[in-house]
Amino acid sequence: MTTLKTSWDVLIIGSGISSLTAATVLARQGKSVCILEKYRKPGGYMHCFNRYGHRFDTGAHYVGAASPGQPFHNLLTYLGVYDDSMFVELDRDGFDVMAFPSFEVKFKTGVENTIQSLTEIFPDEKEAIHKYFHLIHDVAAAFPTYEFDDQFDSSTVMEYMETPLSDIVEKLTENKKLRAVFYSYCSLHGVNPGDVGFGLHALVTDSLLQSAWGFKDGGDPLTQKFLGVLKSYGAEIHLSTEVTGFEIENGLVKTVQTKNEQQYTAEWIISGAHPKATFSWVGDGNLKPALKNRLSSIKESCGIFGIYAICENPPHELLKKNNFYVFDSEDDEDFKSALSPKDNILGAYISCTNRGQTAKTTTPLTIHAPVNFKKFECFTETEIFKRPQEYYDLKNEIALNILSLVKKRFPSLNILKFETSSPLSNIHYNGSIEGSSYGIYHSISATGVRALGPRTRIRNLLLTGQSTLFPGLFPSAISGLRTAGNIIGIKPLIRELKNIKTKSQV
Amino acid sequence: MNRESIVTAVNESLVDGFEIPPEKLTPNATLFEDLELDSLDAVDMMVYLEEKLSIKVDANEFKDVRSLEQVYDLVQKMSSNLEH
Ligand SMILES: Cc1cc2nc3c(=O)[nH]c(=O)nc-3n(C[C@H](O)[C@H](O)[C@H](O)COP(=O)(O)OP(=O)(O)OC[C@H]3O[C@@H](n4cnc5c(N)ncnc54)[C@H](O)[C@@H]3O)c2cc1C
Repeated sequence: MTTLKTSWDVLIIGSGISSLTAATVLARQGKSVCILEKYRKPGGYMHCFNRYGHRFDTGAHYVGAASPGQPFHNLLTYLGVYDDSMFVELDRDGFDVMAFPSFEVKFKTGVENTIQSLTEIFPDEKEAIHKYFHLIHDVAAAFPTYEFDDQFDSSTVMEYMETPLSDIVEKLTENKKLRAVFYSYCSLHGVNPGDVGFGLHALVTDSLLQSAWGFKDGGDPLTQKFLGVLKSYGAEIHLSTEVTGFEIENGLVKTVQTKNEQQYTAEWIISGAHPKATFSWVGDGNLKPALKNRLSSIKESCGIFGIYAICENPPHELLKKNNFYVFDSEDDEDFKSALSPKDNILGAYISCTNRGQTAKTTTPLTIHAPVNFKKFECFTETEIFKRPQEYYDLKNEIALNILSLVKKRFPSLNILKFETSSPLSNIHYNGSIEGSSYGIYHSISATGVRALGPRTRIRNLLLTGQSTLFPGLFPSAISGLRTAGNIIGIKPLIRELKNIKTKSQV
Repeated sequence: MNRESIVTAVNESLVDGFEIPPEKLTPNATLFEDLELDSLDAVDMMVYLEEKLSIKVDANEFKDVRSLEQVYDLVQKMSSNLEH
C-alpha cells in the first residue's frame, strides 16, 4: 500500500502560473515541494476546455515581451518551460485592433510603429502620442522585475505607482478620442483610468508593444511543461484537493487541512489562492483589526462574461493573427467607469483561438466583456449545472447584448452556436471572490507599497498570485518568482535572470 | 485638522487597529521598538490612517517615519495639503 506523503519543505496552494513558478524556482533549489489544487485540472486560468469539438481558452489568450531576449521569454527560459512550439507571434503590423464607432487604430509591434500608427489617425496629436508612449516605456523599464536588474530606480517606480493614469493622460491631451485610445488597455488589468497607477498600465502596454504572442494550443501545454519540469525535481501535485483551513500555532501554520480530510505539514506554505480566502483560513483571531479592516475594504475586480462561439466563414480580418477590441463609445468619460460596469457593455474583446492555423469553414471565437457581478449575485448559492432558468435567461440576454455590439463591427458574422461563462464560473473553477477575473481591484490603494503579501503576519505563510502584484500571466509569474525569493533570496534569482538576458543579447 | 485632533485621531487608530494600549502612545514612542510594530504593520497603518482620516499618505515619506511624533507630522502635512 502506498501512503500519501504529507510533509514537505514547501506546500503551495493552487496551480495557477504564479504557484507553478514559485514551485519550479524552489524545487530546482532542492526544496521538496507539493502543490494542492482544488480543481481536477491544473493551471488555474491557463486551463482550456473543449466544446463543439474545438478548444477554447479561459485566461490565456496572448502575452507580451515573449520574443527571445525579452523579459517573459527570459523568465520562461530560466524556469526551463519555454518551448517555441507553444507560441505564435501575432501580426506585428497590428496585433490589436481597437475599433471605435467612428475610427480604428492598430497597435503594432515596436513603440515607434505604434506611435506612427496612431499619428496617422491623430496627426495634430503627434507630440502627445510620442510623449505618452515614451513615458510608458521609460516607466516600465524602471521596474526591477521587468528588466531583471538588481540596480533600479525605486523613486520612479514609486512615483508612477502613485500617479493615476488619467492624471497623466489628461495633461497630455484634450482630445477625448485619443484619451479613449490610451485607456483601451485598461480592460487588460481591469482598473479604471482614474484608479490605476500609471506604472501598472505602463507595464501592460509596454510588454505588448515589445512583442505580442498568442498561445498556439492554449495555455494547457505551458502548464504541462511546468508539471514535467516539476516532476523531474521530485515535486508532486495533488489535484481535486481543496484547502479548507489552517491550524495555527505560535504564529505559524502547523497543518493545512483539505476538503478530502487530509492534513499536510510543511516548513513553508505559499498560497496562490485569493488573499481573502487565505486570510479566512488564518482565522479572525490571528489578524489585527487594521488588517481585517483593510481586507474588507479591498474591492474585487469586475467579472468577465465569456462567449465561446462557433462561426461559419468568419470575416477574413478575424482570422489574421490579431485581437479585436470593439467599443461602443469613443468618449473618454465612458472609459473612466468602464470597469465598474453597470448595465451597458462598453467593449468586447474578440480573439480567434485557432491562431495561425489554416482557415476552416467553421472557426471557434472567444468573446469577452466586463460584466457587473451584482447581476449574478443572487445565484451564488445555486449549484453549477443546476442553476435556475432565470440564470440561463440572464446569460442569454447579456450574450445577445455583447453579440449585437460585435455585429456593429462585423455585420456579416454568422454564429452557428455558442456557450457562455459568467462570473459564477470563475468562482466555481478558480475559487475567485465575487466572480472577479483579475483578483483584487488593482487600484493605487491596493498595489505598490500598499499591496498585500508576499509576507504575512503568520511567519511561515507567504502569498503569491495576481492579487499580490498585478494581473496577467507574466506579472503573476513574477509574483511567484518574488514569493520564492522570499524563501531563498531574491537577488541571486534576479542576477541569474540578468545573465540569461545578457547571454541572449550576445 | 489641528494638531490636537490629529493626535487624537492617530492614537485612536492605533488603539483600534493595532490593539496598542493607550498609555504607550507618547509622541517619542518609536514604532518598531516601543510600540512593537513591524514593517507589515507599517503598511497596514498607512492604509488604515488613509481610510480613517480620508487622507492620501505619500508612501515615499511614510517609509522613513520612525516615531509617533513623525506620524503626527506627516498626517498634518498631508491633511493640510488636502485643505489647500
Ligand atoms: C477571461 C480572462 C482572460 C484573460 N486573458 C489574459 C491574457 O490573454 N493574457 C494574460 O497575460 N492574462 C490574461 N488573463 C489574466 C491571467 O489569466 C491571470 O492574471 C493569471 O492567470 C493569474 O494567475 P494566478 O496564479 O494568480 O491565479 P489563478 O490562475 O487564478 O490560479 C489560482 C489557483 O488556485 C486554485 N485554488 C483556489 N482556491 C483553492 C483552494 N482552496 N485550494 C486549492 N486550490 C485553490 C484555483 O483552482 C486555481 O487553480 C485573463 C484572465 C481572465 C479571467
